[in-house]
Amino acid sequence: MDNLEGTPQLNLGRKLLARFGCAHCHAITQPDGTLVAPVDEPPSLEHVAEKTTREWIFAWIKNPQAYAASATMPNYRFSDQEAADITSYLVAQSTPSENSSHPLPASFALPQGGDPVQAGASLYGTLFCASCHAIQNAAGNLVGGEMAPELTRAGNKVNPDWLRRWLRAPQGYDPKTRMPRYRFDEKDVALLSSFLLSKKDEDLLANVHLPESNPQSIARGKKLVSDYGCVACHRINGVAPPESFAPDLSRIGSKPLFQVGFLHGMPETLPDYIAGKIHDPRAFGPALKMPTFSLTDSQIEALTTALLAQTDRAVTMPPELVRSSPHAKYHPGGEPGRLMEDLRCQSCHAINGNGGDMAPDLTNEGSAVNRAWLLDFMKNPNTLRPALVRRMPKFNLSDAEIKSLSDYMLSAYQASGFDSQALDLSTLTSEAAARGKELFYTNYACQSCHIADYKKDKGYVGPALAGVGDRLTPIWTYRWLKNPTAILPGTSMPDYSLPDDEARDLTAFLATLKEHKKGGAK
Amino acid sequence: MKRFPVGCLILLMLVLLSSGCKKYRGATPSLSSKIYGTQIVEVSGGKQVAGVGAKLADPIVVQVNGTDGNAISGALVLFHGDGLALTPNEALTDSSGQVSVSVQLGGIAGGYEVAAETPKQGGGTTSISIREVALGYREKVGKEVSYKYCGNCHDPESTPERVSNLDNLTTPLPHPFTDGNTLNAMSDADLIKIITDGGPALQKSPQTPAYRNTLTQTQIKAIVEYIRAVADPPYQAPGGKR
Repeated sequence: MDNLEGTPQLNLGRKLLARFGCAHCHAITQPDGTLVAPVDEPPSLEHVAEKTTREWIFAWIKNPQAYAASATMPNYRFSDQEAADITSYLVAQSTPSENSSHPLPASFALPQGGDPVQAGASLYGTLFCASCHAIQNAAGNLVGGEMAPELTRAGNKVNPDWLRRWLRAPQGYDPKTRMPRYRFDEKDVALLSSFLLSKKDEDLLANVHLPESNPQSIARGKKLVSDYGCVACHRINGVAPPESFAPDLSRIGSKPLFQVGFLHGMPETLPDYIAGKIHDPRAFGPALKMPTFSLTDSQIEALTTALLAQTDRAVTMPPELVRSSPHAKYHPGGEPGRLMEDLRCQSCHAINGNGGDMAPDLTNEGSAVNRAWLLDFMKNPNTLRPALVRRMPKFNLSDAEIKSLSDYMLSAYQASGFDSQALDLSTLTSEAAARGKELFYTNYACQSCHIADYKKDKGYVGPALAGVGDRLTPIWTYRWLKNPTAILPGTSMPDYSLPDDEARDLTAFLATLKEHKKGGAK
Repeated sequence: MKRFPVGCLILLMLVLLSSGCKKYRGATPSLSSKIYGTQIVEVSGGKQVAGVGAKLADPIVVQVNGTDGNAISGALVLFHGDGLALTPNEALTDSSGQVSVSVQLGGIAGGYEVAAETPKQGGGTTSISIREVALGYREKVGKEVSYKYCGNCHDPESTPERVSNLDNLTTPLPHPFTDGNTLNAMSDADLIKIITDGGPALQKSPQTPAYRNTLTQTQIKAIVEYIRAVADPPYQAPGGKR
């Protein structure tokens, strides 16, 4: 569902329903008729024994947040025996992944005298791993994105051989992972794994001493895995995903109060019941399976709001009164499409309505950018937004791969109306550019948010415009200036509704902003 | 009603008179202490902003000091606030002379005052007042809209998600929305005009763009409601009522 204007709490709650995976267990039909689709990505456990140790699995099951404070997986409060039994089953069901048949990346002789952990840490930084992964810093703050697992104690978890194969080809372990296949060489793999394996907490597994696994323990573990609905989130061999594991919440907001089992002493209202149930589900009955998620009070409040909105009335509204968003399943085709899948472009970029929202939508990228710039950018993605910590990583693509991707994007991702009809390029004269410069700096103070000249401008709310003449086509710039919201709904660029002549003059000025790179684009 | 013996009543009246008619604002305390401070100060937790009925993210922490300015432990502190749920509403200061109280805001939007008082030796109390703000629906919408469109330049604090751009601007610099000293003097009509038509509409800097075509009038009014809600010092509408 799209964000609705004026309902911040409901929007947040709906996001959290998807983010915390509520919909793995509960069916929640939205007013537009679609089910809430979870956006968290619980990993497949089909090959888990290859990735980690029994001790780590046990410690994780006992308390996921002790390993990673940001972990989504809730604490099920399993007893030691239960956790050990589940561990036994998970190890027993594990099969070799496709990766395990691959040879290990050749070992790389690290240069003498250097510190591989230090070098790996700086490589981790320059590769922008932190765009997706977070690591706790010395002050205890998480630094990095939340798309991918926190790596603060990755060294406690992963098997070194598994890690080296994973860095080489993540999709060979988990075909559904959002992690791209970087073109890492042996040295990159060696340095990154040195760094990641150093991220550990010596105390984490120090007190874990598990008895040998046995068939009884494995059988008990399998039953627990089935009973607690582990397969509602994780893929596990030998246990089929349950159907309707937990109650359907599509109409929870209309639940009659006489059907609600309130706790003694709690205010007897539906909001209090829902919030209480999320806050501590098992307070409502020790036999209940739903665990306690790590949620703040305000997150619980937002989730409660979203669930209260799931009423009889909301889900039976006539379709013409419901704003629905298209649920596109677009994937690029052909050879370039396979390359884009390999690079997992859509983990971050949306194209034709399908994909992530961390990076710009590429649906119309072919109309927006110049070919030379695109080739250069993919070779060496520099940032357009200096204040942004999250950036496009460098994939180390070959020239042939870059050409294939660029050709595809420039031809397939075209918008209509971006032709010479929109703007007569012969009007972009130097006089127009001079007038445009005046408009830019004086009338509209664009430098408050944008940098046209790194020597004097400092604004970094919007993308830097030094070099925008290399990047964007003048027709795109002109139409953007005329009405940014029409091109990108929800952009924070204000719609100035510029008269045609001012938009043209500004376009002429911006087209003159070029960065003269040594060597030029290849 | 409890009935006090007449002697007690007279004594109480004398105490009240001698302390400038000050009495405990809350209920009669159930805790007591023979340790007294001379001053109570706020350590943290004031000026928080949250939705109506919400629990504040951080507790209020106050400290009781003695004449020499050192923290006093074991002194009684009482909390009181109209419309607020304060937990606990009385406590003795801990070993560092502090007491922490969690605050749940009331159901009506606006400012709330938490009074923290501690009895003084020989009678009377000393107290401080700490202000918290509850946002109603419109103010919440205004907060949401201004986070996206205004905060880059009007919020001096940087977060990992959003770096403040304020330091990169030229004078005249934008006013943080909490800057009541400046913004309280502007009328609603002027605030709406500057957001709608940009800085130049009021002979101010073009650094403030015109949001006429970007935001709806409802959103713009919501921003003004939000500015009024978080103003420090608090905003007093002309005529005393909004």
